[in-house]
Amino acid sequence: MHHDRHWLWMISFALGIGVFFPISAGCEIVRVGVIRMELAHFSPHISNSIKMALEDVRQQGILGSQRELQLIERYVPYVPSDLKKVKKIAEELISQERVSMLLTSVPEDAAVFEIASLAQAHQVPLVVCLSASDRITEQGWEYVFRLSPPASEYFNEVLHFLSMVVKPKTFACLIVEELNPLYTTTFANERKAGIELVLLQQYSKGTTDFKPLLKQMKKKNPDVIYLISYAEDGALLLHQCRELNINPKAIIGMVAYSLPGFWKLAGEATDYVFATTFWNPSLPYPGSREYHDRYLKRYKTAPDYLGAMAYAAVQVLADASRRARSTRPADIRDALASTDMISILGRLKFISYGKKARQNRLPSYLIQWIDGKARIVWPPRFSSHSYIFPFPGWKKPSQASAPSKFK
Amino acid sequence: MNIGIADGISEMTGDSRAWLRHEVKGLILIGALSLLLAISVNAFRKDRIPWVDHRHTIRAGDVLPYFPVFPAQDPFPRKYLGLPPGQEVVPITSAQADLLVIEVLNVYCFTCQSQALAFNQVSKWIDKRPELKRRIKFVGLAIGNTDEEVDYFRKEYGLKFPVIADVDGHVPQLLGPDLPPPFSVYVRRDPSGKLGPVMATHEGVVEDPQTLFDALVKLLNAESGTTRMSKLFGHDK
Repeated sequence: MHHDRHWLWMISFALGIGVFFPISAGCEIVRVGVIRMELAHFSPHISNSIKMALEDVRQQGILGSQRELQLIERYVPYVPSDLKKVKKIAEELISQERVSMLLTSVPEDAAVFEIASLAQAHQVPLVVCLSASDRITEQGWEYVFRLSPPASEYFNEVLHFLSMVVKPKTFACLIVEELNPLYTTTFANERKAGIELVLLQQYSKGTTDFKPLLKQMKKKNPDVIYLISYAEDGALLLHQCRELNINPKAIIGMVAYSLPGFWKLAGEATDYVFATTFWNPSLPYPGSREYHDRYLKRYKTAPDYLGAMAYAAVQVLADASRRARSTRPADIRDALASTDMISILGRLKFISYGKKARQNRLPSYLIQWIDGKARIVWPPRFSSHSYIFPFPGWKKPSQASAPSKFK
Repeated sequence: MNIGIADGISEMTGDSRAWLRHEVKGLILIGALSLLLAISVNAFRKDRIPWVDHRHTIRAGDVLPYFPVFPAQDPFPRKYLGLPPGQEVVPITSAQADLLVIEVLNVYCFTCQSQALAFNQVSKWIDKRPELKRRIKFVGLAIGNTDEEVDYFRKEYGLKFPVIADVDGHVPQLLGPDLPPPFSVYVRRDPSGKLGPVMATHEGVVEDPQTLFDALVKLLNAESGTTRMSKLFGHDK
């Protein structure tokens, strides 16, 4: 009898192990803290793309049956950020939610720098998607990885095009106040190229009459004009350039000018304007066209490069989570460090060069608006259309000239 | 009455004949010069006559043309390539190397940057191998870029080899039209000691430093002649 009881206990124990162990060991959850900022017009593409990417990761079984990705999202207020709040959010995700890694799509430098320094201090890996400040990946932080390019490389293909095709002697720039000096520090490259800046004027957000500034610019007769603005003021700028018949060799728009909806806002005044982007559905990367078409079908609007970056960021998280030895932050960090994959943006790999460490090198592309479509025209190996240069003159408006709002 | 040319000449005085001979010689000279000019102009025509040389992008089997470089104030290119000091202009074939790798690039071109980083890693490996260190050298030629841009590029990317600015675009004129950066040219020292025969060229980027390193060692040890870099890079199926 005594002997039978021993056997009963052993069998029960074995059954218990056999039943419960697979369940408890079945699915490791990789918890990712996502810190985002509410940006007018931009945030829907970012949040929609993250959602789509997560669904695709699950559907395609990228992590297999043993792991699952779980995103815990937190929002910070729009520029200028309350850094204390940003710090509090990051600390909560790290200490209370105990995330294995962080992802941020906040564009503001000061906020991201704060998040990155906390991530490094707590040894939780952080993937930065959007913030452009060079210093983010110049600190030697082993736990900070950036997917998006630094500001110093944003306009590489613009400069490539200028040095090979346009060869300008002078340029002028109109820029919305909020984006100065992040963008104008890049003019160091134009200076090195020997292109003289003949006019740099900033304006306040909300300005509607640019004619006094544009008349000054017309007098200077620059070879190239840079317009750095958000969508509504960008559209107004182009309309007023047309009214004043300003005809440089090339007009290069930055920030809003490459967005899919920009043409709807500015109409034919957009034609022949160049802009820079980091993604276009015509690029030959696996999943790129499918992402665009599915997004358009689902949300009735085309995604932009910000959405594409957010989608690619989730692809990186999933890839690292699949390869990591465990869900511990240190192992996730090691997996991120050895990332070498193809995404909808192309090859993603975090490397060190010059002062940068754990920086992904993302190519930029020059698009030109031609007959209402944003075509990649440079570099030649990716171009879907020949560039039109020099600027052939403004198309006459066929509709009412007042710009419409974004839908 | 009709006077034929022969009759007309026989009627001339000695001075007139001398004058005529002088004029005929002049006409022959002008004719010959015109013909020479026509042949030269033919080089720019699309429907050129077949026995006039076609201009083409430099390729394996060519000899590197006289290629002046202006290393500017920076002593680094001279020291690295072993170029003679004191001269403002030196031909690139003065470089002290058995295998010279020339990368045609633009400092803002993304794939050129990738290629430069790969060459840079290979350059570091070569520096650690005494048997290779003085034999394989790299130089970048930056089309459309200024000295200042090139200087920044070298520092930003931590390049260990020199990059020489070609702001006026001489490189495409010398190495051929339609030169698509990145474009690399592999030049060997021939048995007579001259650095000039082009062993291979390659269009596009090869990002894997190990593949590049292995290919360069093979090139260095190969018999003189030409080869396809795509074969050495394992791109040929």
